[in-house]
Amino acid sequence: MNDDGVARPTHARIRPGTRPVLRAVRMWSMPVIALGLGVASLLRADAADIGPLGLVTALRPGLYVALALLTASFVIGVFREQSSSRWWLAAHVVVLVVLLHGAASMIEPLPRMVSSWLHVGFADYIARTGETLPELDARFSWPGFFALVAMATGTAGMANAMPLLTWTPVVLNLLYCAAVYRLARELSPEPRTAWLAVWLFVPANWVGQDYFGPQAMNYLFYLVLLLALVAWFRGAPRARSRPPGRAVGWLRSALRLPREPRWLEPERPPLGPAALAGLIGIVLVVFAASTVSHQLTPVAAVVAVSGLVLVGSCTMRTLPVLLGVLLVAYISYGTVAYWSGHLDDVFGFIGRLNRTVSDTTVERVRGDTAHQIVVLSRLSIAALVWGLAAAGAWWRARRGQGDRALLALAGAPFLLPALQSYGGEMLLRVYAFALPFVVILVAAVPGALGSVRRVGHPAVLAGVLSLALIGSFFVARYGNEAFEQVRPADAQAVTWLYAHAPEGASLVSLTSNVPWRAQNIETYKYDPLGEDLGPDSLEAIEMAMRRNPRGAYLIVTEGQFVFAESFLGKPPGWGEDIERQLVESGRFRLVYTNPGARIYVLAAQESEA
Amino acid sequence: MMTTIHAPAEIRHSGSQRRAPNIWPPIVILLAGTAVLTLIVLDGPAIVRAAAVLTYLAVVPGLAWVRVIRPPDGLTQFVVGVALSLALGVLVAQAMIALRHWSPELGLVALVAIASLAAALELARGVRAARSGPWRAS
Repeated sequence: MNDDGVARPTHARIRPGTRPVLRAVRMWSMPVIALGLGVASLLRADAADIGPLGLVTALRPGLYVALALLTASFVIGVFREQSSSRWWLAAHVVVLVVLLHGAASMIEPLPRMVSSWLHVGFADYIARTGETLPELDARFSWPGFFALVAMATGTAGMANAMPLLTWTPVVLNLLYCAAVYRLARELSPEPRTAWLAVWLFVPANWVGQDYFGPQAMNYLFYLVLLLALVAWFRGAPRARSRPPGRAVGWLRSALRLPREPRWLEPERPPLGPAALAGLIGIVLVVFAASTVSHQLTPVAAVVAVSGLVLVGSCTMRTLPVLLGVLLVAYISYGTVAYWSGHLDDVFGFIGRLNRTVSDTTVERVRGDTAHQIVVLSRLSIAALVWGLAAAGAWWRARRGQGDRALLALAGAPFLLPALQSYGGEMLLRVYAFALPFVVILVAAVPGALGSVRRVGHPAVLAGVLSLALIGSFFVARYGNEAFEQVRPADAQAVTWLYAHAPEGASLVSLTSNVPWRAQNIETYKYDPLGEDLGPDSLEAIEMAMRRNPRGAYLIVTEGQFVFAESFLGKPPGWGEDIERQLVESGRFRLVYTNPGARIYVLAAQESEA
Repeated sequence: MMTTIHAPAEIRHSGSQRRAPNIWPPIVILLAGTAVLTLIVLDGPAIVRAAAVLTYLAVVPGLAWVRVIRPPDGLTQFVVGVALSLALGVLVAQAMIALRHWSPELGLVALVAIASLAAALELARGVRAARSGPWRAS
């Protein structure tokens, strides 16, 4: 057995006459073939085939073959008696991350998500001025990520951060996987469960918050902070001072659990004072960086750490108070420009659970039929994963492998909706913050069903579960790709705009789905700013453009039309109708056109110029 | 309140002899900082400079400090090191904004100094330990 408890092939197991080199080549051929086949299929795919259901309509069959081969190889490797080395298993996880989270990067010609382009613009402003603009955008009240990017690109000699966008999701998901694996090893009875947990984490992480931005970096902070606490600050199991009450006893009996819970929490020897100080320093530095760079993650971290302390799984019992003080101090002094005008956003949702749930589920299930399918597939996967996690938790409790730290960390994020709505995205974030721990519980299910219920071999069950998650990943993760991709025509029009619009001019669009503001965020007046829908009638557009004596430009793009119909639920042809009206009115003049975008100015304004 | 800290099982050592300290990683960290600053001062090739600076900022400052506490395994060391590097970068950059003294180069120098301090500590500890032997072969 190696140090991960997974049996390694040794020379003693090699059949006589089989050369180790040939054996190694045979063993490594599967992940290499899967990578080659998958990447070749992705590179052959055409972004023009992206349809209402997103990237899935552009994918080639070869990708699915590659993923099926990879899955089969991995689950066989994990569940066979003579398992393979951790490097070999890790290679499978790396290939899976590249094929799933790098799919859009290999198919689409430009980095996806206009939000990530905007983050480049925020960093660009700091790099040019050394200041922030909290009155322009709330995200500038938590500027840590943008400041880091500005410093990094400045010293690296880069004009801006655009070259970093394309592969950020892959790099970050690899780092997430490393942290999730270590967490799973700390919280699992054996390495097999840990490997399966990290494998399931990759396709179950469809949330898509790994694009270039503060949340992506802060998710790593969240994982590492909790890893440090779980690895070094976990308390030893405490003996019960009194027997459980009648209600608890009845509940445990009804759930067919042992009357006295047994926990899987190994005793660990103490560390020296220097290592202790160093570890506390790491926790505080990571949390402080999170506090100044993201609105929600530090709140989730405080809730998770509080959960650990409440169940007696964190020896630093005063840590939640310390972190809470740091958080409140920063919000009180560092984000005044934000909360002085948004108190209801910050605190208004406390206790209003119904509204938060409604905002994050009901309101999100809108748009056209395809978008509703995408949202419902996400909800279905969340329900499946959470249901399997509950089964896994029950099974581990029955086996005496319960872990209070694991249960606390998997459950703590569910308290977040009672504290904040986070712009209607809270349930998405709850799923993301709980996922690393939920998948550890889910990973116990195949072994449980296979070994006791005789439903099937654990490897087969793990394979079926993996393929179900991987198969649904492309719809759940990339289902909105029709408007989350950045179309080259849209980007070309924006480039023309910046080259020709004078400083101070208004830049107007029908919806916010435009790849602008990656530069010059303070130089122009953007409309819409911070809202999905811009001026959407002839009169409103003309009024928005006429308001600015320095001139105004209306940009109309294919990306806006798709966003309006698919996400905002506008009727088919909505954008084209508005454009037809403004052309027929004679009050607008076309100044730029390409196959996917047009730019107009007011005809009167043009003649005055 | 007394806090009891438990080390992961992997770092338990048995036997009376310890592994000989490896002094090369802190030396590499010190040299990496010097190399990155040299690239900037001499305005090295754009691609080399970008790759070197970004890698350094993303990995080295945190890794240098994480090495001081001796994590149980390489993977933990790496992932905690990357997160700590990014966190230190965030705090240094944010401090420059708060102090109204924005200078990316100064920020990098500060991070090189932070990393070098940790490397120097590790190097000193390694040299001191090397003198106190005996060691078993690693």
